[in-house]
Amino acid sequence: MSLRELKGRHLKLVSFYSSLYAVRGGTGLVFVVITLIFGLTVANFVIKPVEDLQRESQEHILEAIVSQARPLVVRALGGSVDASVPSEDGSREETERWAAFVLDERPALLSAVLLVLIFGLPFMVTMGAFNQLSGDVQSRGLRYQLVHTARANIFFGRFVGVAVINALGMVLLMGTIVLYVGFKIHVYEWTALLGWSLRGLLAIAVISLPYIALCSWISASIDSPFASLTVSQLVIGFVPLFSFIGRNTWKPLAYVNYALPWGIQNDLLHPDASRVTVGTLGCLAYTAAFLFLGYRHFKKRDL
Amino acid sequence: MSEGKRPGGLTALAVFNFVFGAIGLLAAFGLIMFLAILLGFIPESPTVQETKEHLEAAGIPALAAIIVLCFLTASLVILSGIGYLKQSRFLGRTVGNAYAITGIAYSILKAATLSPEIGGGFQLATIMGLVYPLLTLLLLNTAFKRDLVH
Repeated sequence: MSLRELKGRHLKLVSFYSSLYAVRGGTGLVFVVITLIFGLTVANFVIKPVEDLQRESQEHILEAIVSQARPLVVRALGGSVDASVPSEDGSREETERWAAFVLDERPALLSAVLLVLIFGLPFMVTMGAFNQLSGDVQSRGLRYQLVHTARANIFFGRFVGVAVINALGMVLLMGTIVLYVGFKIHVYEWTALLGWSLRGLLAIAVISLPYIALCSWISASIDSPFASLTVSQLVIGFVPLFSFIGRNTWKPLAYVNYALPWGIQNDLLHPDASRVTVGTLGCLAYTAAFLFLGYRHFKKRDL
Repeated sequence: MSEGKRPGGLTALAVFNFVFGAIGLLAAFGLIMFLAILLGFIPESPTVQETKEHLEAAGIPALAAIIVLCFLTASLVILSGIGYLKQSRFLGRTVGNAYAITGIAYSILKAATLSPEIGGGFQLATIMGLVYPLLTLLLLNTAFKRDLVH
């Protein structure tokens, strides 16, 4: 399998028009609307209790924010809120240290929103990435493009186009939330807010890539857009569910989580740079693996 | 663009319109309940009493205006959804733009008139209420401008 057919100019053209027509096609529009509604709903859920507290009293608001956000953050990081639950391998101390970093050393409100967004991100990403190829394959429209360019440019160009739309949607969402927290809540310095939101955005962009690549693979394999969406959502949802239920029966089943980036995606917000690096490289490795599998299938299949 | 096949995005926009229109009608009935509280038709309880105090600060004329705008917005969004499916110039583009403007006006009026405890004030929910009308205004006049021609 060779990538010699890849041409920068064709790749750029395919990705540009893929992004541009994502909204006209409907997929991009649905993605943007769902992302904004989900993201703002999550942010509202986290921020509204703080606003209610602020209306009553401005004193000790930072401590109140941290105590409100702590259970949500600890759960999102995979820990237990119940101190009586024993920790076998010191993981509670590790989770507490991590929670202290995101709550005390970084804007706690933003941390809580980011962690919930990262949890819901795979499902949101699917809404924008499920129809990269399947619709055009089904309608036989892809044949007309194949006259002008190679399969590699179409496959990777559409992946890049979807990644760009995804990133723009997240920038819009995070920008809205950060501006709101900065102007309305008034408890954090702008440098702290902007710095942490930038790191959060980069983390979200990196975590999205493997899921977009997974959708590329599924979309290249299935001719129906609806089936592609269904299978993508089922695969993404089934892996953590199976791991969660299975580990109660047999502990090693917890590692099923690593079939997708579920097991490492939160590491991109870890205080240790080594964990962040491993998490980032892991996400990029997943992306490369899914793209390889998807392109290998797409190159050989009948269109 | 041609007067041909309806783009998928326009169909998606129509579906969203029907969903948000239904939610808007439910919201309008909720606001009518507020009016009923203010006029004393709902039996008193601590929660009702607290809500009544907040509503009295807004006043009946403002609340009535919000209810009218809410019904109008919900009706326009449903009609424009039908217009998108038919690719109609009047029902789609004109009524769609009218919905976007009334939707923005409704969100602003609600934020300016009602207190935060009863859904007013500038909150994230206000921004959520502005997202779809703004998106409609943008898309109808750029991406789908030449698709609503019948």
